Amino acid sequence: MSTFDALSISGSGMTLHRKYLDAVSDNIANINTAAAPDQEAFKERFIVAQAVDYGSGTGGVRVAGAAFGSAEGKLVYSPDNPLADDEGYVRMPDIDLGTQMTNLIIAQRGYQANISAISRATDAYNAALQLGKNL
Amino acid sequence: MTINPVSMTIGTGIGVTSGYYNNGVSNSVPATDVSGLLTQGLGSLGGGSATAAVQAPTNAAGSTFADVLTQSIGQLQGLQKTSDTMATQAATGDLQDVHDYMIAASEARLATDAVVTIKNKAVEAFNDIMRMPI
Amino acid sequence: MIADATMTTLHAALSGLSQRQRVSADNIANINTPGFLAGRTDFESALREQVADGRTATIGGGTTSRSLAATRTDGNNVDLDSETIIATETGLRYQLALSALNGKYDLLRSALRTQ
Repeated sequence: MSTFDALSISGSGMTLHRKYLDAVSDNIANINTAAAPDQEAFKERFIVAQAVDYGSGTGGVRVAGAAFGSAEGKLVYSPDNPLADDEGYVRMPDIDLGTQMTNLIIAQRGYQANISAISRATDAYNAALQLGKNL
Repeated sequence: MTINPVSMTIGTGIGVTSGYYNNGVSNSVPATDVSGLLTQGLGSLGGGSATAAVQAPTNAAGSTFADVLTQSIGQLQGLQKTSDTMATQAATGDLQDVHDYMIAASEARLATDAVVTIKNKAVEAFNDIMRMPI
Repeated sequence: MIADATMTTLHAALSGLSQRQRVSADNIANINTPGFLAGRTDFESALREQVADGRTATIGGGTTSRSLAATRTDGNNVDLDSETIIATETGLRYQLALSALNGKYDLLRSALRTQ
């Protein structure tokens, strides 16, 4: 454990939420990515977060990996699409825009909350450094 | 021509009889050592009456001023050592809590100031006593 | 006569921390440079060994190495969040070490005073 633990702990939180933000942006950017029915649809990205044990390690959170949603997607009738098969279907990703927008807000608030934790911790440490200054 | 006994009072009205002066022929001031004068002048709150034999006065716990001074110097060394250890930990980044070091440093500083002030006042009092005309 | 072991250790920590601050600023400046690997400073391990052995600390004994964290597509692996945290923490530790050194000087000064 180092002297100013709260900073690195909140820092790990910031990194995680930024990666979450990246994943959600990726999903939203690819929400209309079509694929031919015989191929995989665009899979929704998820970030797997894992808590770092506070007792033995430094605390905080880390990205344990990325998970992917279903590759089946939805079959959508769109005969004008160049990727459509004989029956006119393409495979669209199974991503719900509403859920993704909610996740975007959650990721943003998480990021901001960690930043706020860092600034409060910095203020507290600065105050501690003034202890006994004017003795 | 004899001079009447002279009694000196120090500080809070504690009397010390210094014997007789006789034209410089014989000097029967009882031999008191300086620290005895010092401790009597500074430390005693008993307000006892003058006695010919000067004893170092003690407080309720039975320790003299010299004991108190030695004890506070020993304590000071401990506090300074703690403060040094914490400062080294702060340098290598192993310090657990910032306030631990700040508190240890403040305690060491205050203890040093206290001991230095006591030392200075004691020396001042000694000088005052030595300056007194016999 | 004046500098004891603790003061030398604190001095070594101060120079290590200021080197870390410099390297962190360098990293942030190069956040968009392709192929740039982030720099990392380490003076704590050497300092800890010297303190444990009871030797005097060497001033300016921090080593800089390149981070081997994952790179983005342009070969750059500077992470802005980490660099910000490192800069903040280095600033706080620098203040702490300065305060500790000042405390030692104050102690000596008050012991030397005769008033």
